[in-house]
Amino acid sequence: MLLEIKELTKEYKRNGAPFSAVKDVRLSLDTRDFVSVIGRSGSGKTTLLSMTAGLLKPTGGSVTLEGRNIFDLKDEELSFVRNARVGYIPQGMSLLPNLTALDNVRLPFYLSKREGDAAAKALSLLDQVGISHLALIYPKQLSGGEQRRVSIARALINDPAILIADEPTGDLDADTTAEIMKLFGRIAQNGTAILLVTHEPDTISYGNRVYVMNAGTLTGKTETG
Amino acid sequence: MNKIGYSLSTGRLSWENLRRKPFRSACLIIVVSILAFTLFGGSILVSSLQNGLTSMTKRFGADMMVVPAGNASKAEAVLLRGEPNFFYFDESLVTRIAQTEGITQVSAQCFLTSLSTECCDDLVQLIAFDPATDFVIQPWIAEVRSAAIADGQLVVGSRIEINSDGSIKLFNRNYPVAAQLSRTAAGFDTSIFMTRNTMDLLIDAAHKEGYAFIADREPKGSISAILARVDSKADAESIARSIKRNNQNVDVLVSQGILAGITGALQGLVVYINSFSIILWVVAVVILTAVFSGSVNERKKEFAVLRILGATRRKLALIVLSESALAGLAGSLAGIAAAGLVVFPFSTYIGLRLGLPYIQPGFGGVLGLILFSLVLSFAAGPLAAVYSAMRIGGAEAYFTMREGE
Ligand SMILES: Nc1ncnc2c1ncn2[C@@H]1O[C@H](COP(=O)(O)OP(=O)(O)O)[C@@H](O)[C@H]1O
Ligand SMILES: [Mg+2]
Repeated sequence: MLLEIKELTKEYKRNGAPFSAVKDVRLSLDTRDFVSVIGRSGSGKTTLLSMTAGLLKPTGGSVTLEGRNIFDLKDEELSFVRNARVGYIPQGMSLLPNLTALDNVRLPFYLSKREGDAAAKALSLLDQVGISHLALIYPKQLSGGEQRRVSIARALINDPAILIADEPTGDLDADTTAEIMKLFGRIAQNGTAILLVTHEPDTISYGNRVYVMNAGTLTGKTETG
Repeated sequence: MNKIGYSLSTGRLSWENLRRKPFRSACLIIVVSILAFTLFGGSILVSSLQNGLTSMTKRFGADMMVVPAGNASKAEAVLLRGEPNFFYFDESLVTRIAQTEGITQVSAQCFLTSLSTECCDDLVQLIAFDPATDFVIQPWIAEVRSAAIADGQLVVGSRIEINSDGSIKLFNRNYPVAAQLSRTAAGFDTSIFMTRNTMDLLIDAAHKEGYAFIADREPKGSISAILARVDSKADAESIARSIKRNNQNVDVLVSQGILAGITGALQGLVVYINSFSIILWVVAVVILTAVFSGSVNERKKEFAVLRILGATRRKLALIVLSESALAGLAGSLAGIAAAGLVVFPFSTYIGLRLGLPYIQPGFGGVLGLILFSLVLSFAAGPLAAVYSAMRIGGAEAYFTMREGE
C-alpha cells in the first residue's frame, strides 16, 4: 500500500468548544489510484490533505506513506519525503511571485540535493501542461488556469509517488477545468497516484474512486472507471 | 538557455526576493547604509581627533610659555590654530625667567608674520628659535633632517607650499627650505621656522626692500616668547603664578592647561559621537526587525508554499537570514563609501570647523575602521532577521493554506 490513513482526527476549538475538522478518517491509496473526495466548503478537505502531507499535526490517528508513519519523522526527514515523494498542489494561487514560471516549477528540485538538468526537466513539464511558451513569465502576468498548470508542473518535477491536489479547478471555467482534469487522468495513467479534493460534482468522473466529505467524516466509497 | 543556467540556491532565492521587491529592499539598504555612514564617519572622526591630540601633545615640548602681558590668547591662537601674530618684549627677561625657582630650561622665540601676497594663500607665522638653547623645535626637525639647519635656511610646517625650486619667497626674497615637518594638527602646520640669525637677516633684507614693520617696536633685538621647562617635581601652575607676580608685564601660558581644555572638548565630542552611534545602532536594529517581521508576515503564504514543496524549517530561516545579509552587505558598503566621499576630501575643512586637532589615521588605521563599521552595520541586518527567521521556523499553524488567506 502506498498511502494508509487511519483514524485521522483533527480537533479545533470553536467558541471555546472543541469540534472536529476531520474525524476518524480512513483511506488507502495504491500506486495506480486516482481518488476524488468531494465535499462542500468547510467540510475538512484541506485539513485532511494538510495532515496527509505532514504539514499539520493530527490530534489522533496516523498517516503511513511507503511504510513509514510520517509523524514519527524528524523535520529534515519529513521535509525530504514531502519534497521527493509527494507532489502537492495547494488550494488557491500558490506560485512564488518573485520567481518566473520556470523557476517556480524547478524550485522543488533544489530543495534537496539532486543531480540532473532541472531547467530541461521543468521546460518539458511546462510543455506537457501546454504552457512552455510562458516559461520566463512571472505569476502576476499569468491567468488563473495558467498558474494552476504551473503548480501542477511544479508538483511533478521530482517524480512523486503521489500527487495531492486541493481543489485544483476551484476557480477555473468549465473548459479549462475539463482540460486540467484530463491532464490529471494522463498523470495517473503514467503511474502517479492521485488524491484530489473538490467541491464541484462534475470533476469526480475522472477518478476511479470517489468519497464524500461531510463535516469532517469521509463516507460513501464509489468505484468508477 | 543562458538566462536559466543558474541554480536556485538559497542565495539566489534571496537575491530574487530582494530584486523583485525594490521598495522594501531599498528601505532595508538605506537604513543599513545610514548606520554604516554614521559608524564609519563617526569612528574616523573620533580616531582623527585622538590622533591629533596625541601628536599635538608630543609637540608641546615646553611646560610653559611666557609672553608679553595681554597676549595670552593671541599666543594660544598661534600655537593651536596657526593664526599669525606678533608681540614683543625685551630680551633681558630671559635671564630673569631662567632664575625663577623650579625652572630648569628656557629658550626665547621671536615671531613675525609674512606678507599675505607672497608665499602662501594666507598670512603665515614665522617663528625664530635660538639654536643654542632651543629644546622644542630642533628635536622635531631632527626627525626629518639629520643635519642642523644653517643660517639663511627655512624649515616649514606640513601645510606650507614650497616653490618648485625648493624655496619660499618672504619679503620679496627667496629662501631655501631645508626641511618640511610632519603633521601636528596644531598651528605649527602653517608656520615657518628659522634660527634667530636667519630672522635678523630676513628683517635686514626686508628693510632693504623697503618694508617697515608696524609694531610698537622693531622685532630686531626683541623676543616674543620664552619657552620654559619646569622641574618634574615642581608644579607648573604655581611657578606660573610666581612669575606673573614678579613680572608685571608678562602673561604665562601653561601647556597642561591648554591641553586640558582641548582634551576636555575632545572627550565631550567623542562621548557624543559614540553615544549617538550606539543609539543609532539600536534604532536601526529595531527598525530592521520591524521591517523583517512585517515582510515575513506579509509573506506567510510564500513560506507556507516553500514548506509544502519540501523546504525544511532551517531552509526558510536561511532564506530570510541571507536576504538580510545581502541587504546588510549592500547597505554597509554603500554607507561606508558615502562616508568616505565626505570624510576624505573634506578632512581639512572638518578639522577647521571643529577647531580641534585633527589628523586622519593612516592606511592601516582606516582599513581597520572600515572593517569595524562594516562588521557592526552588516551584523544589524541578520540580527534583526533572527527573530523573524525563528518565528517562521517555529510555528506550524499557518502552513495549512486556507482559501482567501
Ligand atoms: N487553524 C484553524 N483553527 C480553527 N479552525 C480551523 C482551522 N483550520 C480550519 N478550521 C476549520 O475547520 C473546518 C474545516 O476547514 P477546511 O479543512 O479548510 O475545509 P475545506 O477545505 O473543506 O473548505 C472549517 O470549519 C474551518 O473553519
Ligand atoms: Mg479547502
